[in-house]
Amino acid sequence: MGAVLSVLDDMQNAGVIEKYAIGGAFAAILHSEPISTIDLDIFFFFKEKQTGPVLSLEKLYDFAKTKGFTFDHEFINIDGWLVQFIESSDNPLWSEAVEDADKLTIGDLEANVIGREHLVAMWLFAGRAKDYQKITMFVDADILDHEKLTDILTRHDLLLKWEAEKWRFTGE
Amino acid sequence: MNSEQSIIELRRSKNASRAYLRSLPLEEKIARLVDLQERYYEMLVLRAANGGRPIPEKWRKWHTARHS
Repeated sequence: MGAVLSVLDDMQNAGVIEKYAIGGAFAAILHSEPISTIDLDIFFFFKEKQTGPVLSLEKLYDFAKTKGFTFDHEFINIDGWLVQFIESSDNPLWSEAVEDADKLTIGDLEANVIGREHLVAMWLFAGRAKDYQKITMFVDADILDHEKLTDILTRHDLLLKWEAEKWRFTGE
Repeated sequence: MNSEQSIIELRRSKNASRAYLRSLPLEEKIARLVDLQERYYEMLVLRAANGGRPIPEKWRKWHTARHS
């Protein structure tokens, strides 16, 4: 895992990506408890904004090539971890989640990790069964700042969905 | 122990176990994830070998990445 964090630092230093934060199930594990997942989601901004109609991850793949990492259209294999890069600048919720990420210390390294309340908002928006399971895990663990969550849900037009769906997570 | 007491005891035990997992250092949580991945893949291999569904493409990719 340390190798992945080092590569992300290298990508920043090489001017490929600007900011990044770990999201998805891996972030859920760091904030809460181990659950099974195989990919590591990295939400990020490119250093240079893209102007074309179709987002290209070519710069990431070029960087991967220079480092000898294998990759396909879905993942870059960094030290045995399947890393998926998700460009986040066009999505206001994802973008805010990256900007407002927590800094967590893993061993000797510091990692940017999307905060708990932003993760919940992102999972609520996605709305798949596996997303709702992770929300339930956070609710059960009582690790959410409800004032912050309400603020995020309100600003991203998700409060009504939360009100409609929260019985699934809280049993209320 | 009646069934209601059993449920209470099971819930208490599950909550204690989950609280312990949440309290682990981040490196240890990642180590547990790696272990979970290995064990889940073993289960998928056994399932496929016994006539069940084939190993999903994503998990085959994971195995190649992790063990190549």
